[in-house]
Amino acid sequence: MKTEKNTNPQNFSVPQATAPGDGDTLFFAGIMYTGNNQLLHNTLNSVFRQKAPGIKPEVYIFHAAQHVPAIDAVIKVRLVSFQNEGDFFSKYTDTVNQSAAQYCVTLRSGEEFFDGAFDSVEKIFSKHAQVNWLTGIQTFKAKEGFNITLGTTAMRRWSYKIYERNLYKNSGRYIPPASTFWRKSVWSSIASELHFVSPSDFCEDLWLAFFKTQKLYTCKAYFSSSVSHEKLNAQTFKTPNSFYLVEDHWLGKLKEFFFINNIPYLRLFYRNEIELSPLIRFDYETQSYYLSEY
Amino acid sequence: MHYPKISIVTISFNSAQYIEDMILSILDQGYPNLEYIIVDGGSTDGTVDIIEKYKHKLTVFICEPDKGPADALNKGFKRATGEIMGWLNTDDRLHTKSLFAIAGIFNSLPDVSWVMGFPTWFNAQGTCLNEIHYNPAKRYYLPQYIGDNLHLKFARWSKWRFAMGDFSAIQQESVFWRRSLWEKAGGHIKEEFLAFDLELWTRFFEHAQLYTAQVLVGGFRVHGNQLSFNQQQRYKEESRKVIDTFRNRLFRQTFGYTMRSILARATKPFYYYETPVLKKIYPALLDLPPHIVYDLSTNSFSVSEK
Repeated sequence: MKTEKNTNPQNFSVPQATAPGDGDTLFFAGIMYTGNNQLLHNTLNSVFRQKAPGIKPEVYIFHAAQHVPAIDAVIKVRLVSFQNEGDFFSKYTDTVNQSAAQYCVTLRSGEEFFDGAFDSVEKIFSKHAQVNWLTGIQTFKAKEGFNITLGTTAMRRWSYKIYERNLYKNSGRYIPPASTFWRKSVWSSIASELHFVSPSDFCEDLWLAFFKTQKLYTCKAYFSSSVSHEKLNAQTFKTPNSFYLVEDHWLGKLKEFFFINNIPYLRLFYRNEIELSPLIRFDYETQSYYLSEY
Repeated sequence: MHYPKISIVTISFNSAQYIEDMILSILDQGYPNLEYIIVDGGSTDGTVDIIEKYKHKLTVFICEPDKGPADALNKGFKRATGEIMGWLNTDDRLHTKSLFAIAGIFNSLPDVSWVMGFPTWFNAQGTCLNEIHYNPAKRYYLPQYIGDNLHLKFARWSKWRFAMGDFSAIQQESVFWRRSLWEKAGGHIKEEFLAFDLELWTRFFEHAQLYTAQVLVGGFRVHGNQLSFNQQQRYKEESRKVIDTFRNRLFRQTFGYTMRSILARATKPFYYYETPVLKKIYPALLDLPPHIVYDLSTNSFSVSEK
C-alpha cells in the first residue's frame, strides 16, 4: 500500500482553474494516473495552460485505490478511485456520463497538451458539425521532455477499415488518445453498447465503438505529445516508413505504397478504397480550419 | 548529462504582441546553462516593459537604437560566449524542452556542426501546425512543402541542393550551430542583406553539412505582419541574389555543378516517390546528409539514412 507524498510542492504550481460560467465550453480531461506525481503535474500544467476565452477544463484523475496522487489543494480536479478493472470501467463510464462537458479527451499522466490545443478543437467542432471526433498529428515525448515526430500524415489518417485491420494485426500504429477529442454527444449515442475489454488499451474499445457510427478526422495540428507506446519498439522508431504497411495482399500493399508515398493519382485508389475522411487543415489567411479532400 | 552553454539572441523592435510568449518558451525550459541575450532597438509600444519583467533572467539586455535587424543581431552575438548559438525572433517560439534536444544532439554527434529541427508553424493563437498554408490561389510556398510524406525529404539540404534553389526556406527558428562553425564562417551577420539569414547559411554550407533532426525545436508564427511578409518582394529578390552568388561560387569551384544539377532534377521524383533503388541517386548526387533520429528506447540520438 503506497500513497505518493507531495514532497516538493514548489514544483507543482499549477494555475488555478476558475469556475465555469454560463456559455463556457467545458472540456472533460480524464487523466489516467500512472504512479508518478511529477508526470501528473506536468500533464495538469499543460491542461491549465490552455488559455482561451470561454474554455474551461473539467479534470478527473483516475487512480487505483492504493495509489493516490498528491494534488496541491488549490488545483481544482476531481479524484476518481477504482479498485480493479471492472470498477475502473464502470467509474469511467459513470464519470463521463455525469460530466457536463461538451468535448472529451483522455490521456495518461506524463502526456501533455500543446498550447492552443483546446482552442483549436473547440473551433473545429463549432465550425464543422459533421466532425464528431478528431485526432491530431502525433508526437512522442522523449525522456528529457522534448518532442519527437515520426512518419507522415498518411499514416495518421484513419477509417474503420484501417482500424479494424490494425487491431488484429498489431502493426504498431495506433490512434493517440491524448490527441483524440470527441463530442460528448457521440459518447452518449454509443455508451450503452460499449464493452471495455482491456484496461491498458480501453481507448481502443472506445475508438472501435465510435468508428461504427462516425468518421474520424485527422487535423494537421499538434494537440499533444504521447509517452511512447509499449507496442512500438526501438526498431520501429528507426524505420518509420516500414511499420504502417498493413495490407496482406501484394496489390493492397502496392496501393498503400502509392498512397503513403503520395504518388499523384495512383494514391487515390487506396484513399477511396478505405474510405478516408477529409483532412482538417488550417488556412492562415482566414485563421480558420477547413476540410480538405487531400 | 553535459549541458553545453547555449547562447540565444533575440532582437526586438515594437514587438509587444508576442514577445512574452517567445521569452517564456525559452526561459520555461529550465535549461541549466542558458545565455539569453535580448537586443531591443528602442521600442515604444511596451516591449521594453515586458522585457524588464524578465531582466533578472537575461544575461544581457541592450536597449538602444540600431541600424536594423542584422546590426542588432551582431551586437547580441558579439556578447555571446556559448558553445552553441542560435537566434529567435520575437514572433516565433521554441518547443517544450527543445534546448535539451539541441544539447543532446551536439553532445552525442560530434560531426554535426549545425542542425535544424523538424519544421513547424504556429498560427496567431499559438496552435502548432504541421504545415504552412497552401492555397492554390495564393501560393505562399511551393506545393511540395505540404506534400506530407515529402516533408522530411524536403527538409534535407546540402550546399548543392541549396545552390540549386530546390528549397523553400531553412527554418531559422529551428537552427542551432556550434561556435566553431560561426567563427569559421566569419563570426558576423552581413548587414547589407535583408535575407541575411540565407546569406549566413551559404557561409555555413561552405564549411559543414546541415543536418535535420526529427525533433520539434522551434516554429515560425504566421500572423501576416512579419518583416519578411511585408517586404516579401524585396526579400525574394535578395534571396535570389544570395543564391545566385552562392551558385556562381560553387560553379567556379567545380565543373561538375551543371551536370550534377541536371541529373539531380531528373532524378528528384524517384527520391520523393520512393522508387526502389533509383531513389538513392538524388541524395547521392547532392550529397544530402542523413537525418538525425531519436531512439525512444535508448534515449539517444543517432544518424539514419532512412
